[in-house]
Amino acid sequence: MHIFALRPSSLILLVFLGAGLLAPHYVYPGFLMNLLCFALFASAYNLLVGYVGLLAFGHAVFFGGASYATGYMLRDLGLTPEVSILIGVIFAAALGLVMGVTSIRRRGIYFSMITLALAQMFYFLCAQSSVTGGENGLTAIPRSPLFGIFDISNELTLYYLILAVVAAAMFVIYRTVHSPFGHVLKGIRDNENRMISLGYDVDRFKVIAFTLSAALAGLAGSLKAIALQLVTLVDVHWSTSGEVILMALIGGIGTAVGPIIGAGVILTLQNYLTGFAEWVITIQGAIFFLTVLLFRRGIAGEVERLFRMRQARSASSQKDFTTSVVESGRST
Amino acid sequence: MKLKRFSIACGICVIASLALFSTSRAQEPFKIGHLTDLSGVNVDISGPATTEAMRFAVDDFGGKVLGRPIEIIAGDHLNKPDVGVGLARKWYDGGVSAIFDVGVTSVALGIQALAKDKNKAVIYISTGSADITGKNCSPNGIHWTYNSYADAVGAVTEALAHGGDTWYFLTVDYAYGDNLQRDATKIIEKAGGKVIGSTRHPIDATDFSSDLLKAQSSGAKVIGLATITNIGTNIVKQSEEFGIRPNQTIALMSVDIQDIKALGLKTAQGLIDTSSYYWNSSDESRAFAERFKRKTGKMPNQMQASAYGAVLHYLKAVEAVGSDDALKVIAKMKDIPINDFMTKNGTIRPDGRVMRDMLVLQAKKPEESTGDWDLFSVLRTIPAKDAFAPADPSVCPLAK
Amino acid sequence: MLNIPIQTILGQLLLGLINGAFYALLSLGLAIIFGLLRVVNFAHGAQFALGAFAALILSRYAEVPYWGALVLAPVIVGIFGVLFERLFLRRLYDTEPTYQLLLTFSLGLMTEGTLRALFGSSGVPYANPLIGGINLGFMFLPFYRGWVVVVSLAICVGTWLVIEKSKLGSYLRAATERPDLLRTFGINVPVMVTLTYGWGVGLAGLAGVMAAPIYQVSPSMGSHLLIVVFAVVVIGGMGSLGGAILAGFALGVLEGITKLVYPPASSTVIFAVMVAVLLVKPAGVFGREVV
Repeated sequence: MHIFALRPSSLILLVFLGAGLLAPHYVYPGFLMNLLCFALFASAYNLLVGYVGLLAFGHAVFFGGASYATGYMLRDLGLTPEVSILIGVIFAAALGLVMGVTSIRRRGIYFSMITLALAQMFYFLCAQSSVTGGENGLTAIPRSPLFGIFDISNELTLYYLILAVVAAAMFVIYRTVHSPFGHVLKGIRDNENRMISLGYDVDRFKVIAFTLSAALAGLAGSLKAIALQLVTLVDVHWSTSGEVILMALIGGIGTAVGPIIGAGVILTLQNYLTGFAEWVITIQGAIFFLTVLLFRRGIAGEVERLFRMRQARSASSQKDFTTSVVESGRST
Repeated sequence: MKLKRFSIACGICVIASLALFSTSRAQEPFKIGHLTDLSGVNVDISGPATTEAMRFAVDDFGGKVLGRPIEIIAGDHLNKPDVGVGLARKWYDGGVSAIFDVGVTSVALGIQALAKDKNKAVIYISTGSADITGKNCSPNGIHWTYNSYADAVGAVTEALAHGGDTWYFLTVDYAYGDNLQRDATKIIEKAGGKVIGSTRHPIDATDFSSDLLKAQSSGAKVIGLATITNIGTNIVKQSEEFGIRPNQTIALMSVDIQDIKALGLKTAQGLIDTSSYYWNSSDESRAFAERFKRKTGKMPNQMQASAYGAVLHYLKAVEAVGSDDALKVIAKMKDIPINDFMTKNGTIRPDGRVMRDMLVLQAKKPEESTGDWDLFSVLRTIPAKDAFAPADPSVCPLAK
Repeated sequence: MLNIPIQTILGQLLLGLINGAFYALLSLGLAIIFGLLRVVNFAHGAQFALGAFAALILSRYAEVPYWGALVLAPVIVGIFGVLFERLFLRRLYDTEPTYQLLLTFSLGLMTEGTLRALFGSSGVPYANPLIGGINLGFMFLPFYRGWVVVVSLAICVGTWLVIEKSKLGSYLRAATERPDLLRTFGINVPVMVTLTYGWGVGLAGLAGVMAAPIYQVSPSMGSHLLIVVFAVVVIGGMGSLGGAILAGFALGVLEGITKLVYPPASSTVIFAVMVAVLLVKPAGVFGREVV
């Protein structure tokens, strides 16, 4: 049965990969790099909110924290990109571990608020620290040669490098979700008490998932530091944490491709609405408003639901995936 | 298999981009970009109205340069460095020769590095940070209109001239606030004054009664607001309740005409603004203001007005050089004097700082004002050499 | 810190209390909405700004003075809230809470964006109706600030009494704890829900009117306050109205004290307190953990 369940989403992911390979012909690669980074960020977040049911509100800490770490290593310490990225990811994972351990015992809205509070404190540290360059940010981060030899200063080369890394990370997420570990996570999401009575150390699983999500969000941030050559306080601000929630929601929580679509929608809105001048923010708000009212499950979620409905007609009872997300929300 | 597809795709891309570059660009439009906050919290500082002023310049220049029609592209960075630098990168790669305006420091510094990387031009109008011509200076960037130092100098010197020799600072907890306070302190001490205290506030603070009470009880003659404009106006409004003025003078170190309008003259009267432009300061500036108001419905502030001259001067340099090669064009811009309706014999320093005289303006009393936009009286002019801090070769190698 | 004179400390405490009055009003509105609807109202900051702009529009186009706006503006904002709840929010009650949150967030975005497109970003002047003040010996207290504390206390205590002591309040409280049960008793929960949302939003509007004479009226005036007020509600205990009110005032005072010790941290200290509180008391100081 699982084979059936996996196939469409893995197929779609492969289609996305193919599209990613061809995209630079049609769309500006700089935009695509940004898109890839945010798609990974949203997918990492989705791992937590979609598959464990934890609505964290501080993921900018990992995204921006890793960004700062990578930027600092590249620019001020002159390390190579792969080492800088690794350090960024480790830094984000460590932050994730700390935040996870602190917050994971709290439920529902209290969990969200404790992550928000920790994120605010981290933001304060970043704003005060001299390492981050304060409100000016870290600028002119060099695109040093990969491993010290491969030139990545060209937009296209860097794009394909980032595409490869993001694809690999997406694969990790995909494997995690569909591994025995992932099934335990979904079990926790759907009915935590049952998992406890089955003898699972639920908190430990949650902390591991939280740390993994933080590390992947950190990877996204590290890549962005290289792609954009710039890290600023906006990257650790709560509005960035809010934005990634928005991406996951618009695309479809708990779907494999939803976060990618969500990131695409939001970045497109940010980059291509310029013609409306003063009304941009209002229009953004209206689009979100309508999405929630009309396509509540997110774009990918709605498509998946249609697909499932058709499948359900032919095959016998199969548990509605998206409904279970909704149920989990009720039960918390 | 993946690797094969990858290499094929790479190959296709290379061919495609070669094909793009080899097409003749002679009849393509000559593109310049206007990048700023078009919709967010800073929209009044510059915003879509600045695009209109840039269009005036293009029209007056004849609409063509190097035989190509000039096209202005406008973009909104939403005050997000990601969006701003991303857009700038796309524009530069897509053939935009110069970007104007920008605003927010973090976006500006990002573009400063990018422009150097890509050898393109960037001309800052609503950006205030003096780092643009200091430790982040670049041969590709010009800081056109003002900077945080010039913004403050009128309020500081005016207060000093009226006997304000003891100061208390309310400073925003940011490098910007520190720099502003440091620069002002230098001017104050040089004039024989003294700073007797200061307190810092976070950027997201909304209530300043506590800071104001500290300043009040310090007994300083002048309270210097080394903070961002939105906070500064908020502090001025709150100072009214505590009866700060007229016992103490308030020196608002970053303010522009729209902020005075937002405060209302009743609250704002007597405040000093240092500005490169005031619509009612001469026949020429009035003529531009009328033209601007017909198009946008409001009087221009210094950012919007000065954008006109920035574009015109840039286009003149392009015409003179015969190409859009940024280093050559910027060098040419530094060669020729700036003359437009608001700038007389302006020059550009090697570090990219435009040297222009600044007006010291004072907000009128409500009963003196004869109309919605009759907000200031012009007190005096500060010559360029006093309006801007001297170039510092120790941080900017260009400034020799 | 030790050499701070006692007058200064008293002054800071009083100022903290005044700021707390705003926090209490805003957090009370949020707590009511959350208590009954289980909706985290992300439009609260924008509705606060809307209150201030309603007062401004009333004075500019209908020459309604501050004292009239004090009543009218919250009603107007409340009506907006009621319409929003009836037309849109209602449709999402059967879904995950995050969707309601997102809907209110979008409403906030639209409100702020529209105000900015219409009035610009720098703000608009609004006159202070109570000029002058009184010297308390340790500090100068502007009349208007005193007025803010009085109104806020009256409204907070009044609302609290209604909810804790009246019959309507008992329904509300019952609905807070078991909305499903109340429905089965035949009480018209939907109308109650609508009015509660309207009341909570109206409180945000009221806070906005009260802020208009002393804070610069601008479209983004509420956006900074929003997450601070969330923190206040959480510290008080979500769903606990008394907790929200007390935490509001307490947090104002705490900010005041921080301004004496290390001013730059004054807007972050609340989050440190929130972490500490939630680690010790998982559901806030006055809340019960209803998971």
